[in-house]
Amino acid sequence: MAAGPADAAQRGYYVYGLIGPDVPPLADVRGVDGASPVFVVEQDGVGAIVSEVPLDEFGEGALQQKLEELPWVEEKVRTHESVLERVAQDAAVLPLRFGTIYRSLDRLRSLLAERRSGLVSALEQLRGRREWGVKCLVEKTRLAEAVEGSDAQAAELAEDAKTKPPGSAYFARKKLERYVDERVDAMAARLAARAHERLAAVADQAVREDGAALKGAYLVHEAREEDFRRILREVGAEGEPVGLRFELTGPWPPYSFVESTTE
Amino acid sequence: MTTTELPAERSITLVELVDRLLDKGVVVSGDITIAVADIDLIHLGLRALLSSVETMERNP
Repeated sequence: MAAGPADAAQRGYYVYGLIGPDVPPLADVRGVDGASPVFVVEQDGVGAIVSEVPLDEFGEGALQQKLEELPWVEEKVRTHESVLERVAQDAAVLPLRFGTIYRSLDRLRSLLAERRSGLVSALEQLRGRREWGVKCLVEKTRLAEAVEGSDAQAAELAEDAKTKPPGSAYFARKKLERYVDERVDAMAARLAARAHERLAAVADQAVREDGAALKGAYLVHEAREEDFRRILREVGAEGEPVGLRFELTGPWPPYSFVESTTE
Repeated sequence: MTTTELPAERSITLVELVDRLLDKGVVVSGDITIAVADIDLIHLGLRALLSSVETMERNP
């Protein structure tokens, strides 16, 4: 439906995520419209975390427009996230992608009933686990210094660049730059891959985005969070002298570990 | 990196948030959802915008 005056009075139901039969306390939690209470719609042992939204803001046409306004997006995604974080304190939760709205609770209930078995098993696999994000930032000049200081071939080229006559020295310097660049990229990729492997070893599931520097997500059981942090400290300590910095975010609702497609 | 230098875990950057909420999470057939093609574009647009903001913050 297009946004228009007719939408103004109409309400829809924004869905944040799905949970099992245990309903967490949500008494003082407000939804993405900034005012409406967040509540749970339960059907056959599966619950949806929901709040009412006005369709003049969240209707099809309006939503499309609002998504082009960064301050609006920031406020709404932060609220979506904080609602789920609140729920995740007490229950395993399947986070929904931003912007899923139903016109009636009956439609939502029938969805929960239809997909019940898949949802129940997905929730079971997530129980007691949280998502953590790790990003590796590479300070290339520092890593280059480390390579130059520890690599025999680089040392030889550096020596040539210093001692040879001007013409040869120039070529040695160029060769050194290229060589160090390659070594830096290879070393960053190798260290990041190794860090990912070690972190993934204590996670139930792990994913990483393509690219040399690490951007990974890890689904870690609460019982192994201490191990995960210890490993992160270790890879951080190993990476620090050569210009690698590891950043941790989380805990997140398990966005990166839920089926992203509808059946 | 020592324990005290661990980055503040709760200081969630908007980039991380947008990467998860607009690109991941369960997709269900709501009555109103953002079409996949549209959400990809929105996500990329926000990413580009936020990356430039982030770069500016890191290199003042």
